[in-house]
Amino acid sequence: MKYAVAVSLTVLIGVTSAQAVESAGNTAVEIKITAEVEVTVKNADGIEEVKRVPAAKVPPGTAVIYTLNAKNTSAQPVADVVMTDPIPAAMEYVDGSVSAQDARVTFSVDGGKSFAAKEALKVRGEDGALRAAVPADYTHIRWQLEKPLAPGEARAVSFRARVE
Amino acid sequence: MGIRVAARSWVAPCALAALCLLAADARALGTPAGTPVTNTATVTYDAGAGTWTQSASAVFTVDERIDVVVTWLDAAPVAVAPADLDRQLTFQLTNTGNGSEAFALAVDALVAGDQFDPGNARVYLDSNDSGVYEPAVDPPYQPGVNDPLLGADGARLVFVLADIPVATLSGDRGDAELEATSLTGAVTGTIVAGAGELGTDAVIGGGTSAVLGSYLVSDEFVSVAKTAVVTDLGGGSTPAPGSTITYSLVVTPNGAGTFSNLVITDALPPFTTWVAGSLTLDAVPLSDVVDGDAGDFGGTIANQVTVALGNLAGGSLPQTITFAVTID
Repeated sequence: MKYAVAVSLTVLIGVTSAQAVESAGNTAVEIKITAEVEVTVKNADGIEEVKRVPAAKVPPGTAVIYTLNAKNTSAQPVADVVMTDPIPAAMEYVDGSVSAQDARVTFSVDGGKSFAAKEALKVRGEDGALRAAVPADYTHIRWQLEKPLAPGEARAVSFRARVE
Repeated sequence: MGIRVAARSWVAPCALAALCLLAADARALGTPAGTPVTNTATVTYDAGAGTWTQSASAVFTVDERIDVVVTWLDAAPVAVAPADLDRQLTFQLTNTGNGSEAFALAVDALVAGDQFDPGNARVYLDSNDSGVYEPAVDPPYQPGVNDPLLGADGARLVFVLADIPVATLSGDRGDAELEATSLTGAVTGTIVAGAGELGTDAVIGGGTSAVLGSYLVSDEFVSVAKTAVVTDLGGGSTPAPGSTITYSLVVTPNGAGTFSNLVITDALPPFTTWVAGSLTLDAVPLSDVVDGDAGDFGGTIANQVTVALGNLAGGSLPQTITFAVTID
């Protein structure tokens, strides 16, 4: 899908690619991820409004909105649904940007080995002493859905990360 | 051979270019233009008899962001005297964007708010990171011909040379502004499609940067007058192999202030040999080695005379340094 939108000089837009890269045995739940950026466009009345467009080319300093969508495509309820997303190395999580509706959100600061609530996260500083983790330390975000997904039900979660 | 006068207070506050470079820190945005950023999300769930995983990816490419910063490296206004020629201001151009970029330079010596306009202002590019303008080594800047091309985070020293008008008084300040502008574009917020590295778009952050540098006319300066006397082997004054050249450096502190830690260094000319034990300060011999006296040859700096004059009050008596070499 190609987008051709008049943008008022914030970022250029194009195509986002969101395709399943793995399909292991059971495909009861389908996951999708999209990357979007906000651009300011002028509507037909000449009024500026902020729109989200797929992220294709993004300059440093710009926040990208990642949205993960898990959908139960089977005829049975699916329990213990957990979505996990690494924060790309070239990006930094935007503090407070995670959506957490009906999900328990935890973060990792060790490359996804362990997860904890953000208040409990500690990292070892350059001086060797433990200190509270800051958003720049986060490596992964995890959403544990509190309820099973009913047949046909989808659940979206999102966060923002800034290109360094 | 050039004589160097270094005083650790205000005479040459930025004589050590390396120190000046440290002072000018400009952190760039890090991710190189053209980098693909892939994010793969996974979902795990229980269904049927086991736990399953699915994943999906989103990818985008990092655009080039153009940012440039010009800093003035002389820590304080450069002390000059009326009618001085080719006086140097030192600037640093830093590419704080995330891709290679070429920049146009311009100097404006007619800025308002100062007491005089430096004359004949020209821009030179430091070709060897010496921090000191070297004639015939550092090329003049020519727009469109040698616009500095800097990689991401790259920096370049740039000199402005100007002449000080005769009709200036002690305390007068003269400013010159150096401006650098990305050749891709200067208007913040514009996007130049396809102009970034690796086919990315170029997004103009700070496409242009300008900073003032200043000269300050001062009657507080150290003058060094150097003279040479040649004595040939026959007692005449013909400069020939075997002839001795006796140099005399008269160092005069002018003005009302004090020059602290004043050090005079002088390199030998090519094809000459040092005459051992020839160094004197105010007619008192100084040994060649680094020891308790004020001077040495080759000890502090290889193949150079170094004499530490300490603190000298402006208006105090001139100090005379002499030494001799033979022509090879």
